[in-house]
Amino acid sequence: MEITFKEVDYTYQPNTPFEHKALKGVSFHIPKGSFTAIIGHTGSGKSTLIQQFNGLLRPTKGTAKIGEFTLSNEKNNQIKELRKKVGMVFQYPEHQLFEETVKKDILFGPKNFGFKMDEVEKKLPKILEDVGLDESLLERSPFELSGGQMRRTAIAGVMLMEPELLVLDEPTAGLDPYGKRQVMELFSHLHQKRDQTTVLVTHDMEDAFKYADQIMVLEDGKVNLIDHPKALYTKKEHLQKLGLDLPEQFHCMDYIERQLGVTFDEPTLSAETIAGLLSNQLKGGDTQ
Amino acid sequence: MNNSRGGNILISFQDVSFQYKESDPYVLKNINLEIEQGEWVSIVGHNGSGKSTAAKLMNGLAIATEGEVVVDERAVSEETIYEIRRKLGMVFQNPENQFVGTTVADDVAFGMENLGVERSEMEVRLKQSLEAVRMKGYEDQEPHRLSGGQKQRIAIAGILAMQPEVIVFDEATTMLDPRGKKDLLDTIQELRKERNLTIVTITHDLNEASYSDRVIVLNQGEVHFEGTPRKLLEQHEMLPLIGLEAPFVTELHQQIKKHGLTITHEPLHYKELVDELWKLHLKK
Ligand SMILES: Nc1ncnc2c1ncn2[C@@H]1O[C@H](COP(=O)(O)OP(=O)(O)OP(=O)(O)O)[C@@H](O)[C@H]1O
Ligand SMILES: Nc1ncnc2c1ncn2[C@@H]1O[C@H](COP(=O)(O)OP(=O)(O)OP(=O)(O)O)[C@@H](O)[C@H]1O
Ligand SMILES: [Mg+2]
Ligand SMILES: [Mg+2]
Repeated sequence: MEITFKEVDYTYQPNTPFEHKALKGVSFHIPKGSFTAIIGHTGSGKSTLIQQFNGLLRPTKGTAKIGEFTLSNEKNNQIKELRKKVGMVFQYPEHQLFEETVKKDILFGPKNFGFKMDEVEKKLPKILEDVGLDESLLERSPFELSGGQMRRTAIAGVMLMEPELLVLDEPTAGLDPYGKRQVMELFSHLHQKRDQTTVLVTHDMEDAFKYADQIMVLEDGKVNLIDHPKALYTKKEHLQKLGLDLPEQFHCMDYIERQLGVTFDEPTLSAETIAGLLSNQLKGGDTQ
Repeated sequence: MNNSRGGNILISFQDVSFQYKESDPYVLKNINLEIEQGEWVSIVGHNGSGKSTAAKLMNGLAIATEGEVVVDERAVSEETIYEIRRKLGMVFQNPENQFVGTTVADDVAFGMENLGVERSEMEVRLKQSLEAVRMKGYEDQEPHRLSGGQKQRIAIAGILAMQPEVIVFDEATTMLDPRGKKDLLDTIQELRKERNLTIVTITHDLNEASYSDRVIVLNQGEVHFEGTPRKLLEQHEMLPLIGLEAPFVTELHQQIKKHGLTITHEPLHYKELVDELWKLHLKK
């Protein structure tokens, strides 16, 4: 699903003393089938922005087009249709868990949207394996799970919906390193296989650079820049000014460049490649 | 109470096992641990390994099924929890679970009120702790109407304001941006120097854990490893087997070894690795 925002404002609690404008004239385009990472410091408006994608919040001003749906200040009576196609993993998994059992929770979305349940249930074991959730937890209350188990439950429920647009708000926060890699690979795999559009909000710069084909930087409710990951490498001072950062690998390459007085052509996330470059420099130095 | 190294033991687990319900399996099994005053210990382990449960046992949110948890020489029990919570502050995995006030200021003040902190002192600490987490100006906001990372900052401020002797951070920085995370680690370091604060951080980030004095690795409810961060990275081969992963620096060291280069010890940071390699190279 392609997404086009035109001059979108969003104001929390309008006309009260607590009125707060969290999005200010936001315009951008996300092509169908792309993988977009959204970064920005705490409170910059990331969660507010992505909640417009499934109509959970509606623009106070301007228009947001999500596929064939247009969202604005006016009520839209197609919200249910929209939500059937847009899967969302919230920043705090607790916000999307409410059923008596883990199993009911995972099946809630498909059931609510009228999926054929016998078919959906057949897919359950595979999904559990994909997100690393033990079958023995299915009859447990979701509130008697560990933080990471809740996260996996929330992800499983959304993945069963096979959404056209998958929106992920810090989906790996609280996952152990193995689980984190497992679900990121799952998102990436489905993204390619199903021609799904994916939007990932993250503070993890490595994931942003590894998986995204465009990165959007939010700052104070505005789009500060939107560009290819490689282009952002040359804007690191700018990012640092915004309280953001680059992946550790890039810092390491910088450090090697400074200490050894060399310059590398291109940034890489691969330890193997960096080790090769470093070793070349150290060994090559012998013959100089 | 002192341990063999002469340090003052603040928290100890003595043969502790725990199950949530009698019909449930044990989620912690025969745990023995000691944490010294002034120490910074990090706890890591796969999802469901028992980290948060161990934290709950420290502040009496849960009571050991078998064995005993002792905090500052008092066994944690129904009778001692109020005393213990004055000394041991805990920042939960989900900050929303600890909000009680209708405004940020009320929320941060709540813990201090319970401790009977004087009004004027309260004002000072409120200001200081909001400054420490960079949330000045949000005093009148509702905690529930904040961004994910702002909520975590407020939860942290509330505990800082109570000035406990021990703070347990249960994945309290997962939603912070890179600078926010670094700021918090710096604040922790300062507080340790100033007040001999004891810190327990539960985290999945081995880079973060490498700032601490000691790492405890839980695996399926048991202590799998206990030692310095460097020692843990030396044993990096076991990490993938228990749901963890070696950090970038360890991976880089492994890769560089394939080129016939190495340094004498396992590095904690890429700077250490690059510097040592460079020095060895110059000597040649
Ligand atoms: N329900 C709400 N009512 C009023 N203001 C809100 C509400 N939710 C968020 N805000 C404010 O809107 C701004 C943007 O919040 P948002 O949650 O979009 O930030 P974010 O970029 O997702 O931050 P984080 O990285 O901390 O999750 C913040 O200043 C926040 O305080
Ligand atoms: N309230 C509860 N009732 C029953 N079982 C529970 C409850 N809370 C947690 N558990 C179970 O106890 C085990 C340990 O959970 P705990 O929350 O301590 O794990 P954790 O190491 O903190 O994991 P995570 O990294 O996911 O936060 C898990 O298998 C979990 O399902
Ligand atoms: Mg957010
Ligand atoms: Mg936990």
